[in-house]
This record gives sequence, C-alpha cells and structure tokens, in this order.
Amino acid sequence: MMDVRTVELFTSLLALVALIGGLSYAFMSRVVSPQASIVAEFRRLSLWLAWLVAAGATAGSLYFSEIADFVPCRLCWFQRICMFPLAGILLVAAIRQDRNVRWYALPLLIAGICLSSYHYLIEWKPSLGEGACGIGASCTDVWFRRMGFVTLAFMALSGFIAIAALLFVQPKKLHDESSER
Amino acid sequence: MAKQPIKKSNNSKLIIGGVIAAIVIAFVIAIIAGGSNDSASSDTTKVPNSDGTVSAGENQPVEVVGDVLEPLPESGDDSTIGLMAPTLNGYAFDGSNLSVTPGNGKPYMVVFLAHWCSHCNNEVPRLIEWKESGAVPADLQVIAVSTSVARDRPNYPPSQWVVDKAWPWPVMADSEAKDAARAYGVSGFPFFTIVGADGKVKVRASGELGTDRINQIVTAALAN
Repeated sequence: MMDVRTVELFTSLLALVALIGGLSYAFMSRVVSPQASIVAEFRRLSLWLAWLVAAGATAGSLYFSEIADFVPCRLCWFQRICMFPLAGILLVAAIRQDRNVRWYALPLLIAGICLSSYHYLIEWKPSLGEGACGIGASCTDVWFRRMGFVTLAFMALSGFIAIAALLFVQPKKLHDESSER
Repeated sequence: MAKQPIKKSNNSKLIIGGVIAAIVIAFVIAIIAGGSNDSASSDTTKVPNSDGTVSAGENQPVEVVGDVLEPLPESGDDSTIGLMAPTLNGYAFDGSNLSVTPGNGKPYMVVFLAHWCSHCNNEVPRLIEWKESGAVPADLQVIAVSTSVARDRPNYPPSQWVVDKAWPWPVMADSEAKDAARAYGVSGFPFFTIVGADGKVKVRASGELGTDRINQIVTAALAN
C-alpha cells in the first residue's frame, strides 16, 4: 500500500493536472481554437471530467481524514460540504448528459472557491485568521506543502476551479449561438 | 460523411487516453519521488526510572499537583483568576528535571507552545525580541511547555524546533496525554498564564499577543 507521503504527492499532481487541464480547456475554448474538433469533444466529455475531478477530490479528502488521520479543520469541513455533493450530482448529470446541472452546482462552486481561497491565504498568512491555533485541528496548520505550494486547500481550490471551467466554459462559437438564442 | 464519427471517436480516445496517462504519470512520479520520511523514534511518554530520571524524548511524564484550572472561556471573565495554579513536576526534552512551582515567592509566566502551530511560530520570535529588549521584569521566570506533539506535523521534533528558534528559556516537555496543558486549561496555542508570587493565577491569554500586549499583561499581572 502507498504510504501517506506518496499519496500526498500523487494527489498534489492530480490537483495540478485538473487545474491546468481545466484552465487549458477554458483558454482553448474561448481564445485559441474554439472550433477545433478536440475542443468540441472535450466539451462533450466535460460532465464526466467534472465528475472525475469531484470524485477524485472526495476520495482524496476521505483518504486523508480516514486513513492518514489528518483531522479536518473547520474550513476543511465547509469545503467538504461543497465538494462531496458534487461527486453525486455530477455523476447523475453525466449519465443524463444534463448540462443544466451547472446552475445547481454554481452555489457550491462559488462557496468552495471562496472558502478554499481564504483557507489557502491564511495558510500562508496566519495572522489574517483567528490568531490562535486550536487544540484540535487548526485552519492555519498546514499538514503538508508539496512542491513548495500545494496544500490541501490548494488542492480543493484547484478542484473547484477545474469543475467550474468544465461546467461553465463553452466554446466561443457555441456561446455566441446560445447568446443569440 | 463517414469520416466525422471516426474523427470524433479518435478525439474521445485522445482525451480519455490523455486523462488516464496523466493519472498514471502522476502515480509513477509519486511512487518514485514520494517516499516516506517518518521518523523511527517514539513519542511515547516514558515512565520515570527508579532514581526519578527519564531518558530523552519529545514527550515526558508530568505530575500535576493541585487543582486543575478550567479551560479559558472564549469570551467573558476568566473564573480561574485568583485561584492557586497547579504545580507541574516534569522534565525537559533531555530528561533533566524541570518544575513549575507556584507560590515560591517569584512570579512566573508559562507559555504553552505547539511545534506545528503557525501562531506559535509567529509568536516565538516576538517573545525572543521581548527578552532582548530588556523589558522582561527581573523577577519574572519564564518557562515554555512543549505540548500537543505530533510527529506527522510540521517542525517535528519540538526538541530541535526550540533549538532552531533559539528559544532562550527552559522548556518542559508535556506528556502525550497533555497533562500540563490540561492542568492549566489551555484552550489554544500559544497560551500564556501568568502566576503571581503568591502562586495565584493573574492572567491567562490565548493567541498571538505581540510584544506590546505581552508588556501590558505582564505589567498588569505583576501590579496585582
């Protein structure tokens, strides 16, 4: 079985892949080659990819709390509240190919992005937080920082951004058509 | 007409293959570079030898004599002000005896620190600065208690952490059960308790204080 540090690096790399993949998709769709067939195909698969990100984030979160025994802090719990339902909602949406799911996911994504951004910020600047570490898990306590910057909060933020990009970014042509309609 | 589905299918394969390849590459990199740096040393609290000594360790046994203080409330008055502080008979990291004895005619300040706590890491340099500024009252004893030790959290081991931080005062190692922290009602880190020369609790505070606030509470505590 993989040890915890190996899983830390593995999940950190997956988070970076998700973030870079999501942003690349957005960039290609809107700027570089919105009409490329690969972009259209990416969009066709985007619900499944968004589900994959949410499911991966959920599995990773459960691994770190239940197997690695990293006690989730309060902000971690709030981010979990935003991420865990997405794994279920996006699975149903991917099976049904229901693109309207993005509107149901939107509140969770906005809350998730805000919470994980704030969490990541106070990990670097604890004085912006509560001013004291709790007896249990503290939100400013960083369990690990892989490659110098990838923390659990960063991974959550990457997941939320990737899902938002996959759900909301439409290739420019499609977007224009839908606007005209 | 027949080419379109083939192209679409190829693109699907490309994307799905790309995702799988990314996961596999991440997995391989993690296996190769992940590694484990778990320390083989034990944190388990030791039992003192028959001659009362213990070997070096990150956690040491602590004997609490007297009434345990209630945890510091998040807001409102601290009901422990004016109560006798408990005596802590413990050890330093190296196993040498170390005690916190209230009512021995000298006031003291106990600072509870956790090596992984970012606020403690911010506060320690300020306390050192406070000492170097000469603002520490001559008769005030300062002692740190290293508590809540966790080998899988940052800055482990605490015995090295206090050396790296150049902590200038004695450090008692709390037990694994955090007996010392519980005895003083620690509610968060860093945690300060100032006990007067009469052995009674004068002030308790939690969180980053900074030198000005430390000066303020020490002055107020010793004036009582």
